[in-house]
Amino acid sequence: MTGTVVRAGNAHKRVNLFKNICTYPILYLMVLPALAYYILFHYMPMFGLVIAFQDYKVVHGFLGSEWVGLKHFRSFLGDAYFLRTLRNTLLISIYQLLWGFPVPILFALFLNEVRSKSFVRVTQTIVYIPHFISAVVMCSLIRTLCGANGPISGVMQLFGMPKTDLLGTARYFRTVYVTAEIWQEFGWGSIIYFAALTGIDPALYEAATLDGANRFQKAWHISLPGILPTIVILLILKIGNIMSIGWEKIILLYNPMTYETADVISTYSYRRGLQNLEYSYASAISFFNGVINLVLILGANAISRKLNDTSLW
Amino acid sequence: MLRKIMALLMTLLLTLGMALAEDALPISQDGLELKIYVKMVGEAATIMDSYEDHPIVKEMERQTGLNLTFIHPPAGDEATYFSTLLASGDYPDIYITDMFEKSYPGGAEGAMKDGILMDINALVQEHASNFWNKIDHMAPYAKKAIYSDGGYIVKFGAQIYGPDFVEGRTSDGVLLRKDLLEQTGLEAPVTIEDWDAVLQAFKDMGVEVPLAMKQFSSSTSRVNAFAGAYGVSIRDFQINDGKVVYGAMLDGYKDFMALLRGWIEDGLMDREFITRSDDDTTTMFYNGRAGAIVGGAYMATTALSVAPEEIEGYDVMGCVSPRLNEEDQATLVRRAWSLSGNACFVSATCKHPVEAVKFIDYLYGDDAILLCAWGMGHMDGFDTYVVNEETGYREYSEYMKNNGSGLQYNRAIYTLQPLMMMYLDEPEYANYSLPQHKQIFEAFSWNRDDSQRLPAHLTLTAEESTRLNEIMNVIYTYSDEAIYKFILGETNLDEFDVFRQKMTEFGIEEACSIYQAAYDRYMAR
Repeated sequence: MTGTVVRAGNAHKRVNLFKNICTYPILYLMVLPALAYYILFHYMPMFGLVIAFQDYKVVHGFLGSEWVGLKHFRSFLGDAYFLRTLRNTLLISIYQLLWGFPVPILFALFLNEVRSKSFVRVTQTIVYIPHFISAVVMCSLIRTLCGANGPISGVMQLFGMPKTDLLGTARYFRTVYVTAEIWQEFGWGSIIYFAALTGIDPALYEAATLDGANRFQKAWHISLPGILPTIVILLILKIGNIMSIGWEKIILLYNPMTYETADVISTYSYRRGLQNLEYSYASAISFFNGVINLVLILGANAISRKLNDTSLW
Repeated sequence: MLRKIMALLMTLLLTLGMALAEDALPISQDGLELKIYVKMVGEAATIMDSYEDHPIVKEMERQTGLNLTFIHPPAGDEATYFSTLLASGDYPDIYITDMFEKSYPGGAEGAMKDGILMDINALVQEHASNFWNKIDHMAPYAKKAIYSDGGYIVKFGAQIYGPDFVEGRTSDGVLLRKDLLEQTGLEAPVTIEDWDAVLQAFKDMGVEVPLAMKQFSSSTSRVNAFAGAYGVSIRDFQINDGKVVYGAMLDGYKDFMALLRGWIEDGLMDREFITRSDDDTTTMFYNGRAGAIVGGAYMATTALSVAPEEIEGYDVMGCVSPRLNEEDQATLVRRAWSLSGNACFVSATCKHPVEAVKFIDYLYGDDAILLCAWGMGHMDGFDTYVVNEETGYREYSEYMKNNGSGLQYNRAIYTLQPLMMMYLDEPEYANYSLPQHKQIFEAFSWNRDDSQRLPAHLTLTAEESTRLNEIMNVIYTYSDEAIYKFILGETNLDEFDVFRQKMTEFGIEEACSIYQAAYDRYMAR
């Protein structure tokens, strides 16, 4: 039995798996608990997906519940609001990627240029903190800021715009939501880029100084390529999560006036699930989301491999 | 005076009941075990792990000879725990819950057909004399509600709301700042016109939000404040001449929306109501930002203990259900039904169903009811109740009322409400002892009934229930948005017919027919 060992950016080497285990038994033993965890809690429960095709009743269990095939999928995909919720899910995710993905990278690159170590440390700590604010507190902050009588509305009025309740207007919702997400997460997200930056050989920078490169050129030609593998991998992972939007923040921030832009798949089905214990229906939706995410992540990985040899697998 | 007469009548009936009841104790000679699933009252959970430690339960074990064990769901998360319990197959003997009707597909009847619950019709007919006694004397109108559409008894073990105080009570309505009203010099508002005047006067006096509504949800449809004046319910189905219709489809709904729209334009209501929750409205009422809210009578208690410190002369009153003309009857106001949502069910795996049914019936006996309502009486160092020498009736003792965290807390610890099968007047009165409460309840009850509301104990089949859920999710998503747009002035009211047409497209007629079928079945029981 052979397997392949892949190192990001390097050529592949073929290694005999069995021989490898015998040579390094301790390493494989260390992996075993994690492997067992994934098998038990992630792969075995996948069989439960079968309830998406049944009318699952708790008392009858997996084997006893009636088989209904694609009934729940048809109900979900044929729903009057399916397209709208799908569109909102995709748009919010894409906006988050588009606007939110570069921010931690830029932040890491800029802060990397700062000489003063203490300044860097203090800034980093301040910027990490919003990540730890709970969703509820965060949303209550947002509601206070965005109310019709709030500060943001006041600023808008200075510019001659009418008094608006930002959270009550559909076209502002995505902006508010994505901006709040970015604000909260960019500090924490930049940690991994800082870590990647420390892995760049300082000799490269010295050589560049000798060649007469300025700050900006050094960042563009050394720092950025140095962390490119990290960037690509994180991008692929994020693409694999496009269909999964955390519904807690949206539920706390939306209201019927903003359904047009804020109602996503998870919130829409949450409202439906409130009444009955509709396990099957909810599973069908998760299944659907999971399949789309899988297709996207496979696609992103393939494209990345073609373009620049960096890929998750 | 009337209260005393009713209390006397009750006592007489109780004694009569006692005389007629079978001498059924003890139920078991040798400590037979019955495992009971019941939700613990919140405050009690802080002191004891399980009702097995409750003094009243010990007394019941002594009287009946049974050994009672309990399973309690965690506070706040009963739904998940309940479904896990059903999935585990490890069932108790008796369930005391409303979860079967609320969330099991097909209701309790469905659970009986699926083999989780036992069909106890025969047992109840034979052994439950106390139960039938109580139903006949205290709640004859509940006879229809005991049975499901298929004829199964699904309300054995439901708590009976006794006569007079609790029965038929309306405990929600419009609450108004009495002191502000007095300052305006106007009379208590009855008609919509009166409300225009009062709210305008509040605004002129500087009240920030004269009327603080909250977002439309199922609870706003409890009393349908202001909407009821136009004969429509805010977010619910209703019955017009025996036919089930949806409130927002009626012509009167357009007038209702126009009313709110006008009030928002005039600043008598605020735009933010669409995101406001119950807690937000009550907070606004307590700190004086709101002049009127829609809420429950119990809010007056908190309001009057919290607010007067900040605001001089703060006082609360209740208003009658708003209507168009003074002589109109409000027909969309919820009244407390004769039976609670809870009921007792015997599990299909119970090995001793006869004893189980006998135990539940024992709870309908007057001894058990008095025990659960008033507590043990003499306890270590204090009494839970005392008998008033003048009137001869029971009252909660000073200890219960004032010790520690107050009456509600002590009631949770020393009485046993979840096993109390009938509400008695006096203990309920103890909760509502302020003079404002009397006025509020009278106002809430004036010239109103629930003749146009859907009956509370309809059952839907599993397929109906799923289909309804499917339709209503779309309907609510559409109508919530559209209705708010009408009210906030973003859509012209002329487009109301477009709205109605879309609702028909989305299937509101089918939803009405589902409810119509359930209603017809209910009437035929």
